[in-house]
Amino acid sequence: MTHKWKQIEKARELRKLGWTFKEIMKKVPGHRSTLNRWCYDIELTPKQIASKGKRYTARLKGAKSNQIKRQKQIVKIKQEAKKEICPLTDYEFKLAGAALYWAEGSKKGGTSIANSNPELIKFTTKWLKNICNVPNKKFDICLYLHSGHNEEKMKKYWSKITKISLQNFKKSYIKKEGSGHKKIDSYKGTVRLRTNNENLRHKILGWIEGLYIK
Amino acid sequence: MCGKVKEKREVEKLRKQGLSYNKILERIPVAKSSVSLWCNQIKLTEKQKEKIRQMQIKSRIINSQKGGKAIAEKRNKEIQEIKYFAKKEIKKLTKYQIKIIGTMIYWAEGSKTKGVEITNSDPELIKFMIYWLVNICNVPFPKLRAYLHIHANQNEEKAKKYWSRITKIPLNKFNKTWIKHGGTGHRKNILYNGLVKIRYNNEDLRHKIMAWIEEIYSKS
Repeated sequence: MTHKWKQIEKARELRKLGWTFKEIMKKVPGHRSTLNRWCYDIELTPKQIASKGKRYTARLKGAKSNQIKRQKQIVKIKQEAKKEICPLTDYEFKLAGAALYWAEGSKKGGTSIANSNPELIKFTTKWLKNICNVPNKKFDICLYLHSGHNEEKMKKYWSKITKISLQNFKKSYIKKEGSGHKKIDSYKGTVRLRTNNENLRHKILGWIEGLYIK
Repeated sequence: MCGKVKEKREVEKLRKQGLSYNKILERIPVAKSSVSLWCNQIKLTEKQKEKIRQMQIKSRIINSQKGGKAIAEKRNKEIQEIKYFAKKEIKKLTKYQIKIIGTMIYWAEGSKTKGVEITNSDPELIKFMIYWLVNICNVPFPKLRAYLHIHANQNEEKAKKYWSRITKIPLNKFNKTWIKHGGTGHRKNILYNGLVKIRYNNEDLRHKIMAWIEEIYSKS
């Protein structure tokens, strides 16, 4: 079985050559909407568009204006939504971190939380330092990387994000080559923040129980 | 010279039968040092010695287990205490606080690319998020859909009923279940009730939630 990303790459190549989705469908199995989703960010050159005839040009123009309209809508939704959030108080920050721990933290064996999103990791590190009073030197950090990653570079990257010294980085776990899955280029590995403190974990789990909806 | 002649005779008799000092003391209440004094000349046979040795090992194991249990109990009590006081720190949540908590959970577990989806196996977390969707995001409850993710060796009907009871979403709102086949058989932490995905088809709401996340992050 070929992996799906190989199909995606083929479809994208054909689209870049200016093929219509109908034409691509003959080469790559998949519905037109699926193909569209894979290639939505590829813009055809004016020359390619012109070669498809007047009707195609007109339809594309309509689609484009719809797209712009929708993007404006999204911007407006986001602006309105942002107004609803005030700066967090310490107590709200505590609740927010507990919520993240509920979702991503370990429920047994020390206090640890893992994620690949740098912003989320930054937020959690701050929470562990300020709310849970974990000192910098008590952090153990472990990276989960692909064989294609440069370990030293990634360690430096995450050290900058978390503001925790490289000495606290333990041995990284490196996944072996060969699963055939596509690796996303922007993926910087997954980080696990850990501190060897059972009491803290029980405390956090207590906070989480306080969040339950009665 | 010593008034405990009768006891001495009894002790010697028991020792000759191969009893340990402690066993003798259980029957005849004298000081252990007296027993030792009276019996240290009595030679035991190899068989009797072996029997005492086995008894010692046995009782050592039992005692160590007792100690372990006591420590575990003490620790359990400590943990209960830590949790109790931690839980007390959390006051009744306001609507705004619930909004923030739900948003953070969405940051961790929600879908960022299409629709509004939350996937998890923790019933309390799923309950919280349904409350959040309905009361904070104003999602009409009948619009929610559920999907199960289970392994091939799990019972789909049972899992569906379980999650329907937790989420209050009727069984007919459960869409097609994802069943994972195969596996190496090494997996040990089997989630008996599988994962559940709660879905609401609305792009606008997702953009709104993403904006909340960005704002909470930038203002913290």
